[in-house]
Amino acid sequence: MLINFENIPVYGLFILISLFVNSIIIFFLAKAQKINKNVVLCSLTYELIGIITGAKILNMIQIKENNSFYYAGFSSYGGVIGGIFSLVIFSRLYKIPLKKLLNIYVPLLPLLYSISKIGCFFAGCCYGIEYDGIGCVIYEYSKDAPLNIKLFPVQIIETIVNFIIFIFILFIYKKNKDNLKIVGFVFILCGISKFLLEFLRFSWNGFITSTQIISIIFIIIGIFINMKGRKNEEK
Amino acid sequence: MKIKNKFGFLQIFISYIFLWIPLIIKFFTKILNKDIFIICLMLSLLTMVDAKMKYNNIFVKLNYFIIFFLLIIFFILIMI
Repeated sequence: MLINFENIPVYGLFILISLFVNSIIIFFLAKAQKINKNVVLCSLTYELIGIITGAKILNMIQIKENNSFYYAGFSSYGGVIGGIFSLVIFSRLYKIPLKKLLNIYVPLLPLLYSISKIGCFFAGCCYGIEYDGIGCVIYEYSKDAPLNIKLFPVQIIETIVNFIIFIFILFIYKKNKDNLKIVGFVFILCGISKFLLEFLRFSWNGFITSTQIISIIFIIIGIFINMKGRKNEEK
Repeated sequence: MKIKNKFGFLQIFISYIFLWIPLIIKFFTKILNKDIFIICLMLSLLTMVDAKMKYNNIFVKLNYFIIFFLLIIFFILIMI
């Protein structure tokens, strides 16, 4: 039994890195929200399990050839839905205010997404449309991407855009840490970016994809949360 | 019959059972469905979280970290 360190899967490695970074930053945000360390550790376990389960299940639904939970890839929206769903269950089970939990977990979603997209870039999945310009990518070996074709590096663009969204969210976090506005902003900004960048993906079918439909739902939920937050402020 | 659950022993016990199921299956059948393995690990962790939220004594804390440690070892053992 030999472990070949030359063959470490980069895709899985970057997903692990993103979850690890997410876990560390959450402890800092929890301090600002004055949440007990034990609650953070337990809710984090719930969230990680929710993210992994949701991401894999949605991927299995989208790509019907994947019958195995273990071998299925990760779908970003599945991760978000799974993570939030697990937090809702956690808050109901242990009577922790959901608002506080969402305010520490949701702002980190763009960062989580931007790091895991680097893994996608190296693995060759979620590749862009055919493009022959500055910064085009050619895959000589990849299980997913078409080989020896010039492609648009959409994964890197997604990484940059989501990182910028994360920085913006951090700037407005201090002002809005006690209301759900921050959650609304994340949903709207991530939804818009994902909707638009989907057009640059190879998988775009010319009309509207399932990811774009979910993006629209996220944008509507985000607007609804922000409007509700404003109404509460006015009261 | 009512079982008295002091200090979260019940959750810790169930958690260890979930942790050992994949290894026992592999020992007897020589094949392991990796999906079952992952689901068992998740259930083991969730049971431990329940104990930690309800009791959080030194015994539970210790077992929580033991389970995490065993989980990593089992993961490496089974996945390679």
